[in-house]
Amino acid sequence: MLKKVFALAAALALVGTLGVAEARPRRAQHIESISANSRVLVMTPDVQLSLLTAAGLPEPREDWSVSGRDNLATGLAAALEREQHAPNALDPATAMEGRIGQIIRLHDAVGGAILSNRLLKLPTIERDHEWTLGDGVQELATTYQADYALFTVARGSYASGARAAAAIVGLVAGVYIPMGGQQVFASLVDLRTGEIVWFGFVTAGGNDMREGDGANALIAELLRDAPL
Amino acid sequence: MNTTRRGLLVAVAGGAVASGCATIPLVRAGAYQAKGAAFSVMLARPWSDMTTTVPQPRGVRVLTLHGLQLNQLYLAGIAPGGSLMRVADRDTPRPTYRTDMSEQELVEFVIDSLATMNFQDPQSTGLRPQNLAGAPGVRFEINTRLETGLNFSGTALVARSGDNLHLLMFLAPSEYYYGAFVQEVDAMFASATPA
Repeated sequence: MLKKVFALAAALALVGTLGVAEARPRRAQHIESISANSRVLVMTPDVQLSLLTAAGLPEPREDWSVSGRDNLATGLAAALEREQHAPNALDPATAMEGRIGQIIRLHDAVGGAILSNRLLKLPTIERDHEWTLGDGVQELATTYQADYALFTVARGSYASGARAAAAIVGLVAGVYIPMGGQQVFASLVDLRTGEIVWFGFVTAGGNDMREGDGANALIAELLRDAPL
Repeated sequence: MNTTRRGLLVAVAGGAVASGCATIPLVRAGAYQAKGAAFSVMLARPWSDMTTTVPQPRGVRVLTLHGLQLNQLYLAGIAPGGSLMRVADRDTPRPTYRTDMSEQELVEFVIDSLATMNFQDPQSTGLRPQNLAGAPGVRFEINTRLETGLNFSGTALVARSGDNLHLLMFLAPSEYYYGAFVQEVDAMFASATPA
């Protein structure tokens, strides 16, 4: 599990660091807003945050991860309600058995492929390629009475005081010392077809998801171009 | 290759691409002969060649349609002492091909190689004879999963050609992605002809 966390964190961080992904989320041009009053299954965000030690090693912080997760979950539900949709929360940890568990895991793989493709442009991926989880998602639709599912993944680190001090010293000495960063991606899946109708990616910048206000600002930026 | 290693390789390769040092070659639809393999197959659609991006042992090519997370097609011509998977460290045991392997041992070579890549509890099923480019070989299905618990399905065809081992293998998540492409892969396996 830890390996998965660090691998995804590395990929997310690289996407953010290289600036390969747009600062603003992107969606396919042909996407129209989803119907009003859509039932949206909001998967509890998968959040892994860590403390970046003075040595530059990430030290997982469960308390920060829980705060970030809860703040993002609350903010996402509120954002959907503001757009006249009906959010319904699902903690993936309670649904990892059977086919639904496989679909949830497949979403992680497809999300990873989408991010990878922003770094490694595959010549076989057309600009308007429709990423999909397949029609197995209909099981999610029927089980949870939903039209769409919204998946959110966040990874990142915050610099410790010692790390920040080292960065200042490094600045004086002309050495760049990274201070960590946080990245979030989200995808909206049509539960009739399995198509990922929207995929967004943002770096947190000054929006601290560990705080309610920061999480809300981050969500506003993340969903800016979402077809809600 | 475990998840971390794959993630890092993707990250490193991504950096290379971002800095303009690497591109992923397109393999066009039609007859395709992988370097090192003395056979060619008919590809029904274009594939992305990941071999130089995620380095493989000599004689092994890896193609994908949508990313290695979602589909992997291996085409290989492996010399005696060669391997199917590349391991980053010298401590990890590396299954190697021997000319005296029985058909069952050839299947185990593939399965053990997948375990080396950190696929969890890989199993072979449905062993049956099938020619590969005119040479008698063994066809079988593969069931395994990633560390995350995502089930993967696969199908493979191995055959000896002289001293070398020829291999075709397709792997994809069992949910949607395997079923979506297995018929096309089946036809590709059947299309193999000596180069």
